[in-house]
Amino acid sequence: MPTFADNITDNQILLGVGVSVPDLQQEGQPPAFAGLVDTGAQRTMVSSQVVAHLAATPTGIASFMSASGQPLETPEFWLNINIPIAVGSPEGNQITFASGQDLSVLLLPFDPHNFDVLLGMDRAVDTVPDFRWPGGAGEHRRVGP
Amino acid sequence: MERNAGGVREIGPVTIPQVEVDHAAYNDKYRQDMEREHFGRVALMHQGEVVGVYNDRGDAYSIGCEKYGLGNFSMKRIGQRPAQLGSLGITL
Repeated sequence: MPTFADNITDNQILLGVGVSVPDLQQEGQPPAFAGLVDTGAQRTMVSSQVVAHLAATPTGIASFMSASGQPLETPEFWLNINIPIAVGSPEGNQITFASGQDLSVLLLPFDPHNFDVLLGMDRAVDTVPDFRWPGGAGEHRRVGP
Repeated sequence: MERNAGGVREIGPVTIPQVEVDHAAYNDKYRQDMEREHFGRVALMHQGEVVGVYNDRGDAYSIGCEKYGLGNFSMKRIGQRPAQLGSLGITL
């Protein structure tokens, strides 16, 4: 199973996430946004900044549960979400490349100040997160099986 | 979420007329039958009508783009419950 690796900063797991609209021709790499990994979230969400930048068109309306237990509705989008993946080479080196997955993602009901993509378990479930606390040996933790 | 003078819901820069029409039609006309007969599959909708049911969102998206063009269709996961958002949900 592939892993993705990154440092934890300010007690948050932030990754560079490439986001694009599937099947649309575009030149070069997809635009990158800061993505916050949230292992408690079932679904991936994006801010209105991402939607505006991609000029993405909604493909439905979905609901999510608020703290009060009241379901709230928000538009959903079919987007390709790329996260950096690390794979061991035969020589023992780590090779990092982007792993893309088409996902139905929800629009965040607010615009967070430090991230634009909330990476839920629908995106992270097929990878093993491998996170490093700054400080080196003894502060390396793995999340997942 | 706010509505503009035309009754179209806006969230920041997002305007969503087609999906609003389909969402209302699904809840009013289709939900019960769909959940009984196609639970877990994906309904493809166009102009307030279910025009196909697929096993996979990717299939529904590709066919929707090909037949109607992006922005002129919507997809609905049949029977999907409201998503839990973990710690984010606590703030909402």
